[in-house]
Parts: sequence; structure tokens; C-alpha cells
Amino acid sequence: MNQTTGLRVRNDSQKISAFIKEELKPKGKLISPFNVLAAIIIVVGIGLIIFRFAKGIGAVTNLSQEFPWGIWIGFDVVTGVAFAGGAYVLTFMVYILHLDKYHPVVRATVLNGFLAYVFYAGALLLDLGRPWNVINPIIGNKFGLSSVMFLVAWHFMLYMMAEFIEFSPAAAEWLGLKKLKKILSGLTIGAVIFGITLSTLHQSGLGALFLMAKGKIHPLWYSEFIPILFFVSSIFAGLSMVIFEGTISHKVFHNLLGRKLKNSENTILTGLGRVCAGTMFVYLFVQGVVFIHGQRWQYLNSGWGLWYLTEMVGFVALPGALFTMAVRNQNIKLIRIASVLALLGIIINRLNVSVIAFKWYAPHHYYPSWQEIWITLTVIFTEILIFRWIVNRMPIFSDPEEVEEGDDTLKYILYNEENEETEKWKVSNM
Amino acid sequence: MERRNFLKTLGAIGGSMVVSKKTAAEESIKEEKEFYGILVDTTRCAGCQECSLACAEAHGLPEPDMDDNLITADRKTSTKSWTVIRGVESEDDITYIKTQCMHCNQPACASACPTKAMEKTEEGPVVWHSDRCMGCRFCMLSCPFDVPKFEYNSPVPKIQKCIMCWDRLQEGDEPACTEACPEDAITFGTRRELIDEANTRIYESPNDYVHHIYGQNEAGGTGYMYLASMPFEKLGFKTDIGDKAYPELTTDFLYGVPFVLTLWPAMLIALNKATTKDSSEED
Amino acid sequence: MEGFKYVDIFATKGIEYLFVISFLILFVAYWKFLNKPIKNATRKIRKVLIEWFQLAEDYYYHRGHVWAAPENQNTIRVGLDDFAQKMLGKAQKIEFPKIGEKITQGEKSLKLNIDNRNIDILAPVSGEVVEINQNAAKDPSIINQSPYEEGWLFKVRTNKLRRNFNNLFHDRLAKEWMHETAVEVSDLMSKEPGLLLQDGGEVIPGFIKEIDPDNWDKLARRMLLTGDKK
Repeated sequence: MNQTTGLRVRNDSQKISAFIKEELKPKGKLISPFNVLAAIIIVVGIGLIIFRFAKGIGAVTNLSQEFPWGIWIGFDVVTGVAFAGGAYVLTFMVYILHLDKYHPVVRATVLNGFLAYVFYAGALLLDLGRPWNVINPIIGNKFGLSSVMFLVAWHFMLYMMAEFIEFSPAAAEWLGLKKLKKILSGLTIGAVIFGITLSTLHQSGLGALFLMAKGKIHPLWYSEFIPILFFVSSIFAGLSMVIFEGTISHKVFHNLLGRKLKNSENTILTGLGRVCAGTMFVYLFVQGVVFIHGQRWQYLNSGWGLWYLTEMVGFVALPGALFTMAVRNQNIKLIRIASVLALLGIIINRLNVSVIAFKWYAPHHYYPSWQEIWITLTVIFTEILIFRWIVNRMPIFSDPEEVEEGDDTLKYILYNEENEETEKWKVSNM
Repeated sequence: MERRNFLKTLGAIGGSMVVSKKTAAEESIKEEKEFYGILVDTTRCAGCQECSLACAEAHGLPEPDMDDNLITADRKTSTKSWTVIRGVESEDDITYIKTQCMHCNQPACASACPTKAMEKTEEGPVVWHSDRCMGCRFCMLSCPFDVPKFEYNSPVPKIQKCIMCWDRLQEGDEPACTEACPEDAITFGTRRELIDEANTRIYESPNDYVHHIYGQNEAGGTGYMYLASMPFEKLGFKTDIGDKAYPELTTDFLYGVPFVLTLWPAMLIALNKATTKDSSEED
Repeated sequence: MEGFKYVDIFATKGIEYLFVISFLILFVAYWKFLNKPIKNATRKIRKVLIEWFQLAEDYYYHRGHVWAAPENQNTIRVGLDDFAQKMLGKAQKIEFPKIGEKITQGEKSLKLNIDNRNIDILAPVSGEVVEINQNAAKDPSIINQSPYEEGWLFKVRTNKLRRNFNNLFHDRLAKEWMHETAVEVSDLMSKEPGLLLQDGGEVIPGFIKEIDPDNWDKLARRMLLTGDKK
């Protein structure tokens, strides 16, 4: 139809599929230390997974009648979801409170959140004994409405959709579909509100899963307030993960960083550190209320009491204090250290509730088998590879354009000038 | 005249409400089914394990090993055995206790199950549906008595537990175990009848029994109830369970969900509008 | 419920209320503490070395090699960066903007008189000049000794902090820019090996004069972006 330039010889759909074919080729070295490690882990992992489906869960895990849940639930799902909380906190700060200074890290965080939920849902499928029935809570006519797990399952699904919508403008940009991107960007604020609401419920919901295990979880970790504690701690868990993951990816992908991000990295980190510090202060007090309410002082004088204090003091109070000092002194290195401690604290807390302090009285306690750990690593490494694939192709770390003034629907158009030029060149040279 | 008519009408409406209420109540009593249960009198059990055998035969389970040495104090059911006899030694005697699903009035497992695979039937027994189960094992986590057993070594795993012969109840039969018991140690009936019977036994032989029916109120009341001649803690029963039904532990959270779903979006939209800067600020 | 003995289900309520009240008080104090900026005197200014030039880590930089550092909500301190001071060497006289004068970001704001030649310096931010460094006026060598601390030049008052800083280099970007500057300098140096001091680690102060003894001021103005527009 259009013969003005000799380059326009193909129609749009052919252009896009050719473009995608080109994009599927690997960028960067195929043989690198990380790639080799990932390949080993994933190949063996796939073997283990096949074995798991052939022989049953017992063949690859140390789960038992006494301990029905292990690290696949306790770490992959429960801890993983806490770590993915950065998405709802950051979108709250940027889109609800209009704290634009955090804008440069939103896309990467939302992408991470989306991938985390997809992969942890996948990990969940591995843990289900009869995964072919997983559609029952979705389309079956026997909804277990009284079940917290039913609620969590639905929220997971809906949240993944919301995250996908939040992330999709970047994908549309990558494919050069400007109109689609405009439509999707208009949906962002709705997806954000939906996502924050859902996150509140499923972060606390994961805690609510353990409410009926009264008597099975050590009284220093069991209370009717577990949902509140999980929700509050998910705030600094998510932000600490943003800090930690940002540290790594800003190094690894340093050539992809946009100008604004490079200009404000330390300001962003200090700001996130401040929110973490404040939230951890509040969290300690909430734990204090729960402590008093449960009259927990009677349990302190024991090995478990010592472990509880270790978690609270060493892995909540200490990183909280480090964050405080780091923010006041603008010490970026200390913020990073504090975030690692905070993340460890979250892992310890979630594992305590779900696995470690679960049936603390049992003569033989559960510990994960090497296969359980290996399969967990398989899931994580696959997720990292997908993240890398996307980041290397789609505009995740690059600069957004200025927000249009006076536009209530927050329609913002992001593009990186360099990317656009390369795109045109790539597509037109087919 | 108007006032009189008004009062008459009020009276007529009030009267009809009283009448119709009564009728509705009568109707509901007729239609309501009462829970069935089983009373286990540990003073009568001889440990013959006929109940175990009958249960296995009735449900296609492998024949149980009847060896006496297996009757330990902490013996548990398994994926191959829905009910087992455990034995607690004391001085010169052994108390035999039949162990199986307690069929709670408000079961933790049924409320936990996201697919209604674990279901509390109207008649009382808690049953498991294989076509609905995802194998998430949340029922196992939630059960205060650690009853459901999971087939970890099968690629098509099932949950195994006593179903109080619900299938036989549909045919008009009584459960296989109560039918098989030679000592009349286990009795089948409605919960109401069983509690009456238990109270009668305690009243008639107060020195033979601890004055407590285990399961009458524990966990909100269970279908299986027990009588014993010595304190239940000594016999390995869980006595710290409390009288609150386990699903009530989650109601605070679940009841709050619709409010979060309503209030959060409202607050978020308000915050969003409140923090939107006027375009006139930039010059 | 057993119903045989007295059980107080609100046993801990009193302590809880006291605990929460103390939390409210402590939280206000904590938040204030968290956000209180450390006094400039006590806070160490961290510097990092990029090739031969020092960069103060938290400052904002203009392409014209001037830095801006916010002192509080509406005051900004301005000075010359280490590259500029090393390039030019010691100035004999400084012509400051007047107090009350309104300066504009990217426009000429200050003059240095070095060896009888005038070098203009651009303003990194817009606003009203409110204070001048008298010590630097008396002894311009302070700028060379301590370009980021005692050698500050003047202070500017403005409400538009964010606006001003949006156009300046900061953080990682500033380091990259300084690195590029160093590369430019080493290009120049490759034509003139005698620019480094005996031990080879540092540049000679006022090295621009060594590169081009006759027209060094033109070269300097090019680096500082205050050359004549053609």
C-alpha cells in the first residue's frame, strides 16, 4: 500500500514476527560461568521434577504425615511472596502518593513481582499432590469459600493479572505497538489500586493459613495476629528486596540504566531505606503488643526463647537500627548491608512459622531433602534467566518521558530514544 | 375508629407472625438431620481389633497386621489403616483406645479445604472426595488431631481417613466397626442419644468413669466421643484443644476480607486524588 | 467454656494500652531522629577519586564544572569542582556576583582572574545570591586546597530545589561524566607528556597553562563552557 520508502516492503504482522525471531537469539556470551551454573541446576532440576511426578512427592521430599508442608511452601511460596511485596509498596508510593523520585525503579520491581508470583505459583504446582485438580477452585462448582487457601489462590491469580497489566506497557513498547501501549497505560492506575488491595489481603492471608495450626506452632510464633505481622513485615521485606536486587542488577546491567536512574540511584536507596527503617520500628512495636497480649514472657527462658530473641533483635531490630544510621549518614553501603540482614530476618521469620517452630515438640523434626532444595534453586534460576531475557530486550531500566501535566489518568509514555532508533533499524533491515 | 383499625391490623400482623414462626420452626425441625456419632467406652474395649479388620474389609483396604506388639501408646492411623487400636499401660492394666477421625461438628479440615474435597455431610461424617482434591494437604496442617494421611509415595495420591462408613449409612447400615465390636465398646447413634447414654453410664457407675465425655465440647464438639476410667491426659488424649471450633480461628480474618476489598480502593483513590499536584504549580 | 473458675480474658489490656501510648510518643521522636539532617560541620563529605580528579559523592554537578550542594530546604552552596581548580591553578582575584543578584543556571555568574586573564564560571543553579565566601575572597588559594569544603564560592537561595537539580549530574551519572572529562584530559596530555608531576600520580596544578601557554584561557573556557558563542 505505502510505497513512499523502499523499506516498507512487509506488513506489520510479518515485521513483528521477524522482530520476535530476532529477539529470541541470545544476547551476550552463551558460555559464561553463570550460564553454566544455571544450566547444570536447571537440567538436573528438570530431571528431579520428572521423577517427582513419576514417583510421587515422597520420592523427592522429606515431607511426612507429621510435616505436610516443607520449604516448597515455607520458602518458595510464603517467603517468596513476602519478597515480592516491593511491587505493591512501590506502586503505592509512585502512583498513589505521587512520589515521583521512585519512578526509575518501578518497572523493574513490577516485573520482578510479576515473575515472582508466576514462578511461585509454578512451585506450588510442584507441591500439590493432585495438580490436575488445581482448576477446581477456579472453575469448579465446589468453591471452598470458608477456606483461607481458596482466598489466597484467587488473589494470586488476580494479582498476577494486575501485575501483568502494570508491566504490559513495557512489552508493548518493545513490540513497537504504540496504540496498544496507550490503552494499557490507561489501565495502570486501576491495576495498581487492585494490586495493592489484593496484596494486602494475600500477604496477610498467607499468615492466616497458619491460624488453624494452633497448638502446632510454638507459642512464640503463633498468635491470632499472624496476618497483621505478615502484612507489615512484607512492606520492608519487599523494599529490602528492591534494594538488594537493585544492587545486583544495576551492576550486571549497568549499560542499560537510564539517565534518571543513574542520577538518582542513591537518593532512591536512601528513601527506600528510610521507609524500611520506619516500618521496622513500627513492626517491632506491633510484635511487642502481640508479645504482651500472648503473655509470651513465660516462654523466653528456653532455647526457643533465645531463638525468638535472635530473630527479633539480630534480624529485625539490628537491621532497623542500621537502616536508621545509614539514612541519617547517607551511607549507601550500610543501607545495602541492612537490607541483606532484613531479608535474612524475613526468611527466618517465615520459616519459623511454617516449618521450624511447627511441631517443635516432635521427636524427629523435618528438614528439607537436597532434592527439595535443588528444585527450589531450579525455580529461582529459571526466574532469573527469564528476568535477564526480558531486561535485555524490553525497556525496563531506561528513562521514562515526563508525565503529561494535568492528566488524571496518569497516561505516561515511556520510550528510550536509542531503543526506538535501533528498533526501526532492526525491523526495516529484514 | 381509625386507631382501632390500626391496632387491629397490628394485632393481626403480629398474631400471624407468631403463628407462622411456629410453623417454620416445626418445619425446620422435621427437615433437620441430626449428627450421627460413635461413643467409645474405653473401659469395655478388649483390644481385639475386630473393628480394624471390619473397617479394612468394608473399604477395600489391605488386611491389617493384628500383631499385639503394634499396639503402642502413640500408634497412629496410616494410609492403609483408617482406624487403629492403641494401648496405654497403667499399673497392671492396659487401656485400649480406638483411634480414627473425630468427625468434628465444625471440622478444621472441611473449612480449610479450598475445593470442598473434605466435606462435612449433613448426617455428620466428614468425607473426602477424590475428584475434588488438589493434594494441597492444608487439611493435614489444620486438623488438631492430625488425622488425614497422605499417600506420599503415589503419583496419584489420595487422602486416607475414616469416613464413619458414610457410604454404608446411605444404605441404611451402621458403620462396619460398631457392627463388628464383640464387647459393645463402640456404639453408633445420634450425638444427642450418645451423650445421654454416656451420662447415664457415668451416673450409674460414677467410680468407674472420669466424669467427662471427651469430644462432647472439645474443638466445638466431635462426632466420636470417649469415656475413660482415668484422666484423659494420662491416656494420651490431647486435652489442650479447648472448646472453640477450629474454623472460628479464621473467621476474624475472613470476615474482614470484604471490608478491605471495599475500603482499600476507596482510600487509595482518595489518596491518589489528594496528592495529585495542580498543574498550575509548575511555571 | 469451662465456667467453673474466674478467667480474665482482658488480663493484659492495661499493659497493652500503656505500651501503645508509649509507642505513639516514641514514634514521633524516632521519626524526627531519622530525618534530622546531620550538621554540615560533623558530617564528613565523602569523596571518590576518578582518575586524577576528586568528586564529592553527594554533590550535584553542572557541565561547566561547578558543583551545587543543598544546605537546607532553600539554600544551595556553590563551588568549583576539583577538575576546574586543578586545571586553572591559583587565582589572584575573584569577582563574585553581588549579594541579592539573581543568577540563572547555565549563565555566567562569577569571574576568576588568573595571570591577568579572565575566566568566567557558569552558575549551576538559578536563584538569589545570599552569601559570599569571604575567606575565599581574601585568599583564593583556599579554592585549590579544598574545593568542596572550605573553598566554596557563594550561596544561593531558591524554592525550586528539584527543578534545579533535575538538570545536574549526580550519583553514578556524575562519576561517568567526570570519567569522560578525565578521558578528554588524557587525550590532551598524550600530546604533552610533561603534565604529570615527577611521581606520575597527579596532575600539575594549573595544567591547562602547560598544554597551551599562549591560548590556555581559550582552552579553559572551552572546558568550562564559558567560551564565546560562535
